Amino acid sequence: MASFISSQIGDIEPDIVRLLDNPKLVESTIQGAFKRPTRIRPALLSEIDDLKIQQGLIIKDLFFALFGYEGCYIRYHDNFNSSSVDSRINGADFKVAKHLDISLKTITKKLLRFGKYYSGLIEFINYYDKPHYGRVVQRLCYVISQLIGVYQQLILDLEKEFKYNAHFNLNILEHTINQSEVANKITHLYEIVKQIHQITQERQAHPSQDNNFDDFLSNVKRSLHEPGIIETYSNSGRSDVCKGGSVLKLIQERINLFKGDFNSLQFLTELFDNISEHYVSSLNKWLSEGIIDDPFDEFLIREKSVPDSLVEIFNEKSEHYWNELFVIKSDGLIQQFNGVEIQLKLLNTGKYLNIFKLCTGITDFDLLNENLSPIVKINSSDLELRINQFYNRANKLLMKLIFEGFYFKSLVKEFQSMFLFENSFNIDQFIDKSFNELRRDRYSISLSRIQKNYLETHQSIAKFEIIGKNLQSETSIVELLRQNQNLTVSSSNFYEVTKEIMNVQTFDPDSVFQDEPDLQRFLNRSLEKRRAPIQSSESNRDQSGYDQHHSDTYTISSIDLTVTLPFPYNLIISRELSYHYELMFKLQIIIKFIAKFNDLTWKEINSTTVWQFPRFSNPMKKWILRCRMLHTRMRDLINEVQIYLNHDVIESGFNKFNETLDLTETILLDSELGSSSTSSSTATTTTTTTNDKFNSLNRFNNSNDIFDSKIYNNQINKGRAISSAIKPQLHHQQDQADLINVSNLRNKLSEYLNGLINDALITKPDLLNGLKRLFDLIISYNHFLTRLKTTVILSNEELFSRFSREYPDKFNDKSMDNDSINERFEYLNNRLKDYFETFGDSLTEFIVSLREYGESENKSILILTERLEVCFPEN
Amino acid sequence: MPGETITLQAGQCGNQVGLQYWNQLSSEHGIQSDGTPLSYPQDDSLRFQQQGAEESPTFNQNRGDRPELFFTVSDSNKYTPRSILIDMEPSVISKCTNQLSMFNPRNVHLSDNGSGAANNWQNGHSYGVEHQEDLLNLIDREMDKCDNLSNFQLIHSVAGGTGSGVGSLLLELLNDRFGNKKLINTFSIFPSNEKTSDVVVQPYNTVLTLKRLIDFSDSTFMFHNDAVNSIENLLLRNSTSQSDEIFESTNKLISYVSSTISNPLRFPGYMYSSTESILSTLIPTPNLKFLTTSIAPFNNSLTEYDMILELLNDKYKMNRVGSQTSYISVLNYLVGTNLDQQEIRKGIIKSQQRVEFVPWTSNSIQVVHGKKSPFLKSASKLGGIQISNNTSIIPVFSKILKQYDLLAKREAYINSYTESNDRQERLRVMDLFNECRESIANVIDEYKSCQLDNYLDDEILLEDEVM
Repeated sequence: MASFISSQIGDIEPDIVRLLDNPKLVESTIQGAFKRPTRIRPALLSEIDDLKIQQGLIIKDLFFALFGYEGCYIRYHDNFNSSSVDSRINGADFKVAKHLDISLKTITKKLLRFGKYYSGLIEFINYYDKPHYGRVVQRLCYVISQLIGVYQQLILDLEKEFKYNAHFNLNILEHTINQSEVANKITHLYEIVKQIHQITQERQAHPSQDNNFDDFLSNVKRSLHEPGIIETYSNSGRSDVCKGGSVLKLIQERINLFKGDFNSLQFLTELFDNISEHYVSSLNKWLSEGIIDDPFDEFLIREKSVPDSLVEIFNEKSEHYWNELFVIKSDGLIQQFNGVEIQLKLLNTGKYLNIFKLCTGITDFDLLNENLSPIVKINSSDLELRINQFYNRANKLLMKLIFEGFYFKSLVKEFQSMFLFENSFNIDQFIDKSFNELRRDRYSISLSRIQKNYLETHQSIAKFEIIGKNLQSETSIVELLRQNQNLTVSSSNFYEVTKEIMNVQTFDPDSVFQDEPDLQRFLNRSLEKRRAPIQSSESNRDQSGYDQHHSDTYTISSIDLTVTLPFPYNLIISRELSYHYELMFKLQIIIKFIAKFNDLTWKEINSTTVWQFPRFSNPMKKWILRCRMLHTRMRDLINEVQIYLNHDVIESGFNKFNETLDLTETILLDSELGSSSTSSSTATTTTTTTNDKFNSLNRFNNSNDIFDSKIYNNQINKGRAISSAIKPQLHHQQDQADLINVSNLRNKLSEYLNGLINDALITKPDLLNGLKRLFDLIISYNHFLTRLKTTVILSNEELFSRFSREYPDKFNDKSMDNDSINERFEYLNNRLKDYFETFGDSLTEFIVSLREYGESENKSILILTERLEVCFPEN
Repeated sequence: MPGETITLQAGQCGNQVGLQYWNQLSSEHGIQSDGTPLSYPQDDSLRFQQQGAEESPTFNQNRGDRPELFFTVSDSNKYTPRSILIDMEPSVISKCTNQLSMFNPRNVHLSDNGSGAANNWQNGHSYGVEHQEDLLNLIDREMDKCDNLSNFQLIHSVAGGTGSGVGSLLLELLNDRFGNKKLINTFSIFPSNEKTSDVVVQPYNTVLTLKRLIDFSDSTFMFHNDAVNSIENLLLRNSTSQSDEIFESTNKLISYVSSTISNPLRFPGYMYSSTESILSTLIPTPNLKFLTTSIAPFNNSLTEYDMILELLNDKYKMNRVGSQTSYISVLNYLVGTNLDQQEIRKGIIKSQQRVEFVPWTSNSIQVVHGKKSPFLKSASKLGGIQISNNTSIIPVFSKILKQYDLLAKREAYINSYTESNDRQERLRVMDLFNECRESIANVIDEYKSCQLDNYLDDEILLEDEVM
C-alpha cells in the first residue's frame, strides 16, 4: 500500500521479507516482520493550531494504525515489542502524539483498540494457522480471516470517504466503525484469540507431567465412592497447546458470559457452530462407527497405545484391553460432556461398536441400512438425545451379538450349574470319586488325580458326544466352557481367601492408598497368590500342619475352579464377577462335601452289621441312638443351610436375574439389528427445514429437531390417539433401552452376584467363623463315628468273638473284660457328650450372631435365622 | 452320590404297580414303550445351532435328566429299565411285557409251572429258596450293567404269596450279599384290613413279610390299600369307573408317588441328588424306617403354599394316619418349574406350626425342589408329594397284630405253613410266627417310646444327671 508517509518522503527502506529456517509445506513460509519505519519528522502538532488540520492528520494516521502500522502521530507504545510473538499476538499498542487536541485524542485512543485487535488477529493467524494446532483452531483462523476481510473493506471504504467527502470527520469515523457489526465481532475474536494464546503460553511454560498414575488413583477412588467396577476411563493428560475441545470450551464460556447480549450471543453461537464442525463430524464418526477421526489429537476420546511391556496382558481379547483402550481426555471437555454419565456413554458407544466390529468382522455399518440422524450441532438441546440414540444403537448391536450370536443366556445357565450346582449331578459324581482325596491334607494329594476326576465327570459327555456325532461342526458354548474349566488346589483355603476379601471390602478408600497405593495391583496380587497351585513338593509339606479336626487344611477347602472366558464374554463377566462365582463355588463345594460325608456316615451307622447289631446292652443301644440323633441334627443343620443357600439365595436371585435376561432376549429378538433414528425420521428432516425460519429468530439452543418432530408428531397423532396413550409407550421404550444396555446387563449380573456373596454369609467374619466352627465340628464328628467301628465291636463280647475270629490279627491283643468294656463305653459316652455340648453351644452362638447381623444389616439372613430357630428351638 | 437303582418287582401286585411305575418313568424321560427315546426338548437358546438343522435324538449331551440311573442304554440307543420282574404265574408279567416292550425279557423270572403261590407266603418263600441261584444270577447280571449301584428297590405287596414270600427271600438275599454296601428300599403295599379279605391268611403273610422288612430293608414306603383307595376317590372321583380301572388308577397313584421320590435323582437340582441324601433326611435310626407318603391334589390353582399345606392333610396320606400322630421327619417334594421360594417359605413356616414333632428331633421341614419333566408339558404345573416318618405306624401295625392274633391264638390255617401236621412242626412254625410278631411289637414300642421326652436317655444317665 502506498502510504501517505512514503509518498511524502519518497525514499524509504524497502520491506524486508525473511524466510523461515525450516519451512513447512502447508504453512506460510514468510515470517512477517514489524519493522519500525525510519523516523521522519512530521509537522509538529504543537505548531498546528487548526483543529481541522489536526483532525485530518490524525485520521490519516489512524488509517495506518487501524491496520496495525505506525503513523506519524500514532506510534507504537514502548511496551510493544515487535520481535516478540506474544507481544505481537497481543496486538500492537499505540501511543498518540502528546500535543494532539484533547477532544481528538480521546476518540483516537478509543479507535486505536481496533488496530490492536487487527494486528493481534493477523499475527494469530500467522502463528496459529498450522496443523499442529488442530482443525478447530484452523477453522477459527478461517473465520478470523473472513472477518478481517470485512474489516479491511470497511476501513478502505472509510478511507475513500476521508479522501472524497468534505464533511468526513473523526466522529463519523468513530461512529461508523463502532456501529458496524465488525466491531463487536472483532472484539470477541480478539478476546478469544488472546485467551487461546494465553493458555498455550501457560501450557508451554508448565509442560504437563505424566499424570497417568494420579489419574488411575483418582479413578479408583472415585469408583470406590461410587460403587461399581473399577474402570480407568478418563485421562487428565493435557496437550501442550490450546486446541480442539479447549478452544470450544473457551468459546462456550464466553457464550455463557454474553447470554444477555443478543448480537454477541448470536455471533458467538454461530462461531461456535462453525468452528465445531469438525469436532461434530468426529463425534458422529465415533458414535456411529467407532472410528476416531482425529489426526490432530483434538477429540475428547483418545485411543491409548499399549506399552510394549504389557502387550501380552493387553491383547485385544482381554478385558483389560478394552477397559483401557479408549480414554476420555479430561482436558478441554466442553460443558455438555462434563458429566461422568455422558462421558461413559460416549466412550462406550464407540467401544461397543469396535467390539462388535472385531467380533463380526463387519467393518461397514452401511450394510445395516440404517437411518440415523447424526448430531448437527453441539449446542442443540437434543444433543444428549442423539447421543443416547447412538448409545442405544451401539448397545443393541452388542447385545444382539452377545445374546443371539454368543448365546449369553446359556453361558449364565452353565455357570449356574458349574459354579453353583444348579444341576449337581456332575459335581456329586466328582465328590464321590474324589472323596478320599478331598478330605486329605491339601499338600499331600495328587492334584493331577483330582483334576482328572473332575475332567472325567465334567467332560465325559462332551467326548462321548464327539465320537457319537461324527465330529459335528457345531460347537456349543457349553462345550467350550467345559473345556476351559480349570480345577486346582490353591495354597490358601476358602476361609483365608474370604478373610482377604473382607479386608478389601471394609477399607476406607481414602486412607488405604497411603500404604497400599495400587488397589488393582493389590487385588491382582491376592488373586495370583490364591491361584498359585500347590506344588506337592517336599518343601511344602512342612507348612501343612494337617489336622483332621480342622477342615481348613483339607483339600476340599482349597479347591478352586476357574473358567477362562473367551472374548467377548469376558467383557460382561469380568474377572471380578467370575471371582464372585468362584467364591460361591468354594462355599458350595465345601457344603456338598460335608453333606456327602454325612450321607456316608449315615450309611455306616445305620445299615452296617456292627452298628445294627441287635444284642447290644441297653446303655450301648441308647448310646448308639444318641450318636445317630446328634448326627441327624447335624445333617438337618447342613440341609437347612444348604436349602437357604441354594433356594433362598441362589435360586431366588437367579430367577430374578433370569427374568431380566428373558425379557431382554425377547426384546432383542423382536428388534432389527440396525437402528433407525425414530419412526419419524422423514418428518424430522422436513420439520428441520420448516423450522429454519424459526431457528433464525433465535439461533442459540435451537436445532432440537427431535423435540420439534415429537411435538409435530404429537400434534398429528392427537387426531388419532389421545396423548396419554403415547406416554406409556414412551415409557416402555425407555425401559427397553435400559434392558438393551450392556452396562446395565453387567450391573444386573453384578447385583445378582453381590447379593449371593452378601447373603451367603461370606462377607461377615463372625458368621463365617461360626459357620466354619460348625463345619469343623460336623466333619470331626463324622470322622469320629467312622473310626469307631473297632471300639464298638470291642464293647460287646459277641461281636468281639465274631470279629476276632474273622480278623484275628486286628483283635487278638485286645482285652475283653468288663472293666475295659466299661472303660471304652465311658470313653464313647464322654466323647459323645463333648460333641453334643459343643455342637449345641456353637449352634446357639451361630444363631445368635445370625439374628444380630440379620436384624442390623441384612434382612435376607433372617430367613435362615428364623428357620434355624424353629428347627432347633432349644438352642 | 447319584448311583443307579435296580428295581425288583415281585408278585402280581408288584408287577402291576411296577408296570405303572415304568410307564411313569418312561413318560417323564420321553422314552417310548419300545425303549426308543424321543428327542429331548431343547432349550433352543442353549446351543449354537443352525436354524432348521436336523436334530438327532441320538445323544443329547445337554439332557437335563438322568434316565441312565434307572435305565440301561444300549449301543443302539434303546432304553431298558433296570428292573427284574418276578412272578409265579405269567398273566401280569405278560401284560407288562406286552404294554412296555422295553422290558428286558431276560430279566423276567417266572415259575415253570405257572401255578402261582396261592396267596401263601410259605409257598412263595420256599419257591424263592429253591430258585435262589436263578434269582441271584438275574440280580448279578443287572448289577454288572451298573457303574456305581447305590440302591435296590423292591415293589411288592405284603399280603399275597409271591410278593410277600419271594419278596421276603429277596430281602434276605440282598441283605446277606450287599447289606453293608447298598441301600435296600421297598415300596410295600399293605392290604385292606377293614373289610374282610378274600385271603384269610393275609395277616400271617403280612407279619412274616414285615419281619423281613424290619430286619433287612433300609427304608420301607408304606402304601395302605384303604388309604390309597380313598385318595383315589378324592382326587380322581371316577364314581362310574369299573373296578379294574380303580385298581389301575390306585396303582398309578402309587407309582406316581414312588417315581416322584426319585425325581431329584433323575432331574438333578441343587440337593437331594442321591438316595442316601433323601433317606438319611427321613430316617434317623434304622428302628424308625417306615415311611408314609402323601400326594397333593392335582389342581392347577394351587400355589406352592397351598400345596405344602395340603400335603399335611391326613386324607391325602397313603397310610392311615390319625389325629394323634407325631412326626419324626417331614420331607416335601414340589415338582414344577420356577418354584416360588417365597410361597414355599410361607408354607414351611405354617406347617412347622402345625406339625407335631417328637421332642428330640429338629423341627426341620425340608422341601425338595423337583424339576418337572420337559416331556410332560401338559401335566399340571405343580405336583407335590410328601414323605414323612411318623407314629401312624403304631395303629397300623397294632391292627395288623390284632388280626394276626385273632388267627394265631386259634392256630387257624397254620397247616398251610407247616411241612407236616404233627404237633412239633406246628409249634416250630408258631414259634417262628411269634418271633415275627415280637419284632413288629418292638417296632411299635420303638415308635411309641420315640414320642417320649426321655427317648434318648438311658437309665444310668437318668440317675446320674439330667441331660
